[in-house]
Amino acid sequence: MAEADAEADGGTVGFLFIICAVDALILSLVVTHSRWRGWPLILGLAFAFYGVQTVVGQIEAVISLTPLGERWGAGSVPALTMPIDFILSQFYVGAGMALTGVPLAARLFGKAKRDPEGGALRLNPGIQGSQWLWKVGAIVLLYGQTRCRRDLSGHDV
Amino acid sequence: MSVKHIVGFALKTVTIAIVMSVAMMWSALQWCR
Repeated sequence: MAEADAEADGGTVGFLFIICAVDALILSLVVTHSRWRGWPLILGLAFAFYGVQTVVGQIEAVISLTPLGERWGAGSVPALTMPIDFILSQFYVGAGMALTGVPLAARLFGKAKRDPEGGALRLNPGIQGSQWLWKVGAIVLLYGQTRCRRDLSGHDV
Repeated sequence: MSVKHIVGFALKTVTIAIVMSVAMMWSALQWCR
């Protein structure tokens, strides 16, 4: 019995490490390709990573995996529900990951300090307003369609 | 891109993954307490 528990714990830790390895790979690629450096890079990436990795996931969990989904989500109480306490805990856990992973990635890849000759911070990656509009619109449409299909089919995260 | 660069990139990524895993488990334990 104890051996089976230890084996299950080992499997969980291994699975969590795989999730972190994928996150770390994405952070590494973004940091190495970023034109930003220093605090703008660290704050911006931590904000984006926390938002995508944690906040969006927990909003989805609230509207799809709790009884609140009846009013805010698919219009019916989900067959599988997630405890609110667990959903809230993910905000804490996600913050821990963002606050360690992003600064460490910036430090290891030599982007933690601002370049004194780097000039002003460029917020626009070089695309025009109309391109912004259709690209953001396409992302919103694709994301919304995926969400609706998942809710209607009854499957979720 | 040389083998040295790829190995360096992989080692740094694994380091980040290990630190993030520890941070994830530590913060989960803190929440449970």
